Amino acid sequence: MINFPERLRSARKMRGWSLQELADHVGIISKQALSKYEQGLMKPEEDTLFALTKALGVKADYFLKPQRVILGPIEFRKKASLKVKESASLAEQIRDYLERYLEIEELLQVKSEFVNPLGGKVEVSTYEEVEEAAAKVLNAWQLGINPIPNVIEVLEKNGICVLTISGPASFDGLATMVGQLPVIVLNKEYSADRRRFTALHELGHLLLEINLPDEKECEKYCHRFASAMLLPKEVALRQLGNVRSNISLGEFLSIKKQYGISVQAVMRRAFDLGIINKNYYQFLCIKTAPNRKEESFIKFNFAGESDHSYRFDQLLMRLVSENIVTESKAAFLGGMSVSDLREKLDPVAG
Amino acid sequence: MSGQVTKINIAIQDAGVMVDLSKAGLVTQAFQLPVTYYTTDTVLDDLNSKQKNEFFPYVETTQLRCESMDAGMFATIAKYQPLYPELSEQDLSVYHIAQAKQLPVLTSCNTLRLFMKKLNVEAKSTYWVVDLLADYTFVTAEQAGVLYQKLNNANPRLAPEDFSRGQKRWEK
Repeated sequence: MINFPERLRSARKMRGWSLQELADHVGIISKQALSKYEQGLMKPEEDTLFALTKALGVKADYFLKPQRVILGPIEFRKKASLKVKESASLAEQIRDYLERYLEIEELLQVKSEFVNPLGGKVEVSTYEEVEEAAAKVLNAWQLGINPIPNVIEVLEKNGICVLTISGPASFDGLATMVGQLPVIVLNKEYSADRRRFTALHELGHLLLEINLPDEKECEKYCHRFASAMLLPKEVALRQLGNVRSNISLGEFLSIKKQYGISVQAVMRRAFDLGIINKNYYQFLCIKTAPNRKEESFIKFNFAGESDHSYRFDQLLMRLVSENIVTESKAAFLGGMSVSDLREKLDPVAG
Repeated sequence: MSGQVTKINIAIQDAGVMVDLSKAGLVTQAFQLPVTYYTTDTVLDDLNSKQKNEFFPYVETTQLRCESMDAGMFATIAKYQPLYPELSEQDLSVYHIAQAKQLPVLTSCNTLRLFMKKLNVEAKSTYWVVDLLADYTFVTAEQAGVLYQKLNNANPRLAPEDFSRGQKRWEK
């Protein structure tokens, strides 16, 4: 029962209950005893543990699991409307996934190796330095300047753990470290273009040292990094030209489809690189404002980006194929039912 | 097999058994046998809604007895989980029932069967249902051979050693 106090507090907060409310739901434990459990001053007996499990609606092994993932500082790409309770719930989902991910790696005795492509966290203080850092990453990861076929796959191949979850609309993504493991979390409810951009924005947070007092400015640096990864400067200039006074929607859509970057981001890229001036950029923003989510551009969506981790699925299949764990345990580690696991394992059987 | 019918009790240890039976179209036949099946609600939760609908009528008639988590089951899980991280909460919950009621277990998972044997629990694969259908003359030897193949199609990884043995036994 390592980390029992933290697990108890976390499960209670997930329910949004006070100590008194939890005591009321359990029925056989006082608020004072619960407080002592949460402070680590007392350990519950097995029957009390069972009662807590039932009251909190968690699985039997929730309090029995030995490890507890400690998330590093979290860099959120979110809207201000993300509520505290939603943040706590997201953190719990991420911990749950990472605990399962790390347990799979431990059972298989494999480990992700992350080597920072910039040799270490690089301090940037200008947009030019951000552009240079993005170019270095593309070069180090041998991506060239062609469209990145699948951002999630590239990140995983280079030792970054990527997790996609169904989050509230106010959440885009986040980056954090778990020990030496860099982790990027994405909201799978968003479009492929947006997930690609967010994933690379979060990569910016992981790789760059941005010492600016203004948080919004830091976010702009990471936006710039993501844009430079998806549409490198020389590609943008080649596709759009050095200076333009008018660009058709068709041109933006063509780039969106080919490079997996939103029209909004291409417009911004054109402005950042001086291809269009501020007035024209503002005109384009107003013109496209009713369609900011680009829902009517569906047929120009990028094909190829995945909405889930490949590595996680592959490791899970390996666990079952190599008879390392039971199917039921594999289903638990995969966060799915046995029935769903069987569909994955034997998609054509039956 | 003739004469007095002996009632058999067995614990279904993983949802895979029920998935096998459902995919092979053997649910009705499995419950024609003089067998009382035991399992836990956490195992049943691992089925999809279509599969649950196939098995719930037998929960109602109590031929499929579904037990809920209690303090004793929780204690077994708490005791064995650190020792066997390869097993799930569901695996251990049914292990608890098998121990308490001295039952053999029925599992679809080859790894789980090996673990149960290590723990001195008699463990059978889903093919056992077909053997019993033939033993009790619900199906002919020839039909048993066909059902073996159906189960193998439903779950190609299911107990290869039992499959070869059964194929020989129920050869035309």
